[in-house]
Amino acid sequence: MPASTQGARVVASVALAATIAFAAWHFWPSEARRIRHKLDALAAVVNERPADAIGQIARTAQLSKFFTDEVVVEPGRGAGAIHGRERLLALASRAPNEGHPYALEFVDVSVAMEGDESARAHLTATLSSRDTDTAELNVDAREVELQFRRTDDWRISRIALIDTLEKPQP
Amino acid sequence: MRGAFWREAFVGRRPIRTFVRVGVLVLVSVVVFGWVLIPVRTYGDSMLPTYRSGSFHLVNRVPYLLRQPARGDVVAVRLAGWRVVYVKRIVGLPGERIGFRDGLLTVNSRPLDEPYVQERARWNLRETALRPGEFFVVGDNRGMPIEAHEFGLVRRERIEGPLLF
Repeated sequence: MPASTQGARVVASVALAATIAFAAWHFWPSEARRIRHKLDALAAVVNERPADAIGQIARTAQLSKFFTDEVVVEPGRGAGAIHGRERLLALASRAPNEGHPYALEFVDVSVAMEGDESARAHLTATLSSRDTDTAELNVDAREVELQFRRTDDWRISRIALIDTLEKPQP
Repeated sequence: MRGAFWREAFVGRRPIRTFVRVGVLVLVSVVVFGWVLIPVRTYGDSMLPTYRSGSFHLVNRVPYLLRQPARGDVVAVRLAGWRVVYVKRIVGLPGERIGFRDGLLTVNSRPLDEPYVQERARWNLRETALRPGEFFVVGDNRGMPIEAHEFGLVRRERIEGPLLF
């Protein structure tokens, strides 16, 4: 066998092995991966645009599955905390994603497991929308820390918005 | 004959060398654009008129390995990671007192000359003392309402580097 052909096979084998190793590492099932999928699913539900009131109710019902009953939201910037899933969903139903549609996305997600029943996710939440007049893309971003608790499934028990830039009060 | 032409066109006469070259090029690109020169695109008007919404830039992470951030630097401030960053200008350094008086930025109670600011709303903010390791960052667009503008104190660890262009 010519040396160049043998060498090419070695290079190809190493590249293939590296690809398989990366794929196995990247797609291996884990609780952290389930939490990431949960976050993707949450964003997908938030981004839904129900056509009518029934759709809106269905969206709210779907959203309720992502949170524990006693979920706490800490909005930061001196605003008071929101306690309870019912209160949170009531607020969410006031932003039905119609008229000026927006898209929620979770990026730069890192998940740290804290035992079998608890986990913490640190991420950036972006909310993008297009200006109705200029069609220019507007992106709002906030750093967020989420506490997950496993009951029947992973659910969010605490949402804390982090003030990356600490704005002094006037 | 035809196969040989295409083979030579794509992998050259020495395929191993070509593979290695491509591998090195990919590796260098991943390292350079993943850790050293980070590409960012700006959204929003907070850095007008210096940077327009939608413009493309590179963040250079090397300078702050060698020196501390300086006043006037336009920098990338990290949130949870690299996919979304704030682009702001450093106007206050550790130990200084920063505030706004009728739209003018004050450093230790003295107005700062800021030629990059073209519009000024009447921002008022009492002076805040910066602790060690804290910087004050703000966008160049001071024509917008103070409530709508993201600015404030940030820890040194959050500042990743100045914009290259």
